[in-house]
Amino acid sequence: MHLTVTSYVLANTAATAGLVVMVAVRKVRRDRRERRHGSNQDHLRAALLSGGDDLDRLFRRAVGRAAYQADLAVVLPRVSSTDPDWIIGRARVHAERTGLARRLRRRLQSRRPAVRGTAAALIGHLRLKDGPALVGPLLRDRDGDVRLAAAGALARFGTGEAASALIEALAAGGMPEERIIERLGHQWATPTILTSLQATGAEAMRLRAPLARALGLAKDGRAEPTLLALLAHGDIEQRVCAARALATCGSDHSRLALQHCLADDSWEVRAQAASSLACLGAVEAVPDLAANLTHRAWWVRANAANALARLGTPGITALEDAAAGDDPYASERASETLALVPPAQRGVA
Amino acid sequence: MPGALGDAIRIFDLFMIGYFAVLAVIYTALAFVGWRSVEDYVARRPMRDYNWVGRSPLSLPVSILAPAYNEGPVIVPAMRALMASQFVNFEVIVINDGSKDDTLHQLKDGFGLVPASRVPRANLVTKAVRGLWMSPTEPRIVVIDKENGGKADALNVGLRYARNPLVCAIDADTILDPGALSRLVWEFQSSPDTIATGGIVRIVNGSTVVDGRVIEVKTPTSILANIQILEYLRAFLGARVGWSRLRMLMIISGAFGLFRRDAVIEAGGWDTSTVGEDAELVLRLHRTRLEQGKPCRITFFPDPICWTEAPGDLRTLIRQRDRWQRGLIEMLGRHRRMIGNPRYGRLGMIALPYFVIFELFGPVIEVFGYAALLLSIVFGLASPQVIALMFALAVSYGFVLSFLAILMEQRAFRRYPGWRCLGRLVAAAVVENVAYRQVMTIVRARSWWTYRRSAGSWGEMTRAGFGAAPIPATVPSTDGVLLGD
Repeated sequence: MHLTVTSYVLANTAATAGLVVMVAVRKVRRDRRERRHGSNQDHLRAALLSGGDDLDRLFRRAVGRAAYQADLAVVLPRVSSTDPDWIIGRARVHAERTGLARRLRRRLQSRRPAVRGTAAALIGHLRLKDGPALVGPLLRDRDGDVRLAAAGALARFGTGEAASALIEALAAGGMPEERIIERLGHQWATPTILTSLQATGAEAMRLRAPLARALGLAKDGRAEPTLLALLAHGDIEQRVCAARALATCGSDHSRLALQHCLADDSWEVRAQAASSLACLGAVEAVPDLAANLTHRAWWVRANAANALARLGTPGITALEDAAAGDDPYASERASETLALVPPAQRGVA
Repeated sequence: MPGALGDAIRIFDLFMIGYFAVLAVIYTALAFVGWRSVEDYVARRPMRDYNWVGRSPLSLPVSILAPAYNEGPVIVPAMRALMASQFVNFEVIVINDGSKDDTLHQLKDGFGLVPASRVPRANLVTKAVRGLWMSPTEPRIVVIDKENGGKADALNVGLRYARNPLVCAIDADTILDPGALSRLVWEFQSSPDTIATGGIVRIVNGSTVVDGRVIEVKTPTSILANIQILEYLRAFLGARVGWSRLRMLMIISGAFGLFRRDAVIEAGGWDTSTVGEDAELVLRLHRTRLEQGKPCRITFFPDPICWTEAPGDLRTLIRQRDRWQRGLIEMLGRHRRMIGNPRYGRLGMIALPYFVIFELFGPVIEVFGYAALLLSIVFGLASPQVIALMFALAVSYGFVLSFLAILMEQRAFRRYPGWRCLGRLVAAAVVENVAYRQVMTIVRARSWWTYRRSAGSWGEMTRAGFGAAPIPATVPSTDGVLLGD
């Protein structure tokens, strides 16, 4: 019996010691891997910036190893922020020469979502020539993460073909709209979006509001006439989206159109127009904004008051008048907004 | 020794062996599924652009609800740290739940608050709101002062005034990692069916906190705190990840969870009459959606981190665990119709029965098991070898689960990089089996009794607060809840 109890204790101790060793080994390996990744990323960064021959060796190493491809996906966007075309162009040449590009294309067919998604992301970073055609189908992938990675990769190409693929994905509805709108929200996509906005039919109508939002993100003056037309003739959602977009790319024409919207029947359009006028610094709209402080809809009053607060001295003065006025709703909104105006801004006023 | 009693003890011993065997199989399966999930998560990291979600103006905006009760010393730094989140599209609603200390004054001074108003957007019955304040210098912060009504009531007030489609329920004294919100929001943006998601809660004791930010992560010197770190790792990286993968997640920690606002309102908000309002809400969300035939995806994300202070002394820890167990009793009692009901799918047929048998009655069964073991020794009904073997098996299995959690942490996150930290966790894995686990089992079993006596009581939590210095180590002790929480 003595022997049995001793053997239990020994077995237990041995098992515990084994587990401790396993944890220690795991830690050592993990530490080593971290160091290797750090050093690999440093080498990649230096080689990409200097354009040395080291790049071939590093890319060849990445051909067969997913971990090194992940390192490249981390380093490329960081180093390419300084001179994207030059650095990416050179990286692309080396990727084609070393076989990395061919490997990435093959990995798009992998059964594992993480492999497909990472390959798509890297193809986007490297902007391989046939990239949009390769990555586009992944917008319909069965895995949500892969679809998002594909959308991000397509946006990096910045071509009309990529924009068309993203708009198709928007129409197909397999992804949350915002994820596509934010990728389309760049000036390279504007011509394609404007063409899509000219289309008619039920599906084209459904896309108008999200595409208007994308134009707002792009801050592209070329979109102003189309957005003004949408503001005038669209349904309420489209008009709100157009009014919001005009806040970023509108000129004097837009200011006038938005000012007219302050008398619109729809409270949603009025509220958005108030905010957009503030973004455009439309001081001439102060009287109309002040008039909206008495509107029945809380959001219109709130947005009008906030817009006045952002329009400098004339707006602050209008708010002070409203705060001292007879209308309790206007007075309440104006008083609260004035209280929330930062002291520095009040000083200027 | 009468024969009938002896037979009864023998039968109970056999039942206990079977019970532990089944429990071990379930834990092993959950750990396996959890491991696979974490591996999958690690593999997906390179293709996920969390920073993009954090910066994008089109990311779903979040209203962070931070109920505060007597949090005067920590509230301002905690809120300032929240403001430093990498996720840009959010507001913080601090709900002062009738604090007796200077919480409201601290907030007013800290942010230069001025009275403001806001239209409530949900029809939930709550205690009276005394006032609402906003800051001219920090427009993202809203402070609501209300009569004391408990954490759930405070969260409901926050829910009424929240403007954004996502609401994040946190404890006012917790610290969010700067990237935590972006990662949780990712989950909502990649799948529109998601209605709630939770992140991992880690223990800050021992780490260096400066201006509400965790600067250096270290394990504390206190063995009690280290054991809790290990428990959290096991519970979050093993059980929750596993349940989430199996689409049966029933608990999202009250310290850090993100919810779709409309879904919470539709389910009736947080329940003010239970001490386990976080888990109760998740179960009610499941129930409401399943009864309405709506999609219901509730997930757990192993990486977004929320740091919280663990009880530094045994008394506070016992009160906390007692409260958790009472919360479980209330929750399962309230939703007993779902248990074993095929209408609620795998939740009703697998997860809830598991919780009833192993989490609700488990501690009581275990305590009876210890008693039967003692009686077996006293009356000579079982050989010491068999008892030693059972004990050795139970302890070894506990080791394996703990070490698995440490390995998973090392593999995926490596938040505790130093050898010393790892050594402390390993030591905690060994020590916790000696007395801590047994003490905690007794505490949880005792909750059946305290449940009848003090329903709705939270108990006080003594806080050291987050300062520039590491939180001091306190009483050494040990634990018991396997994969619970």
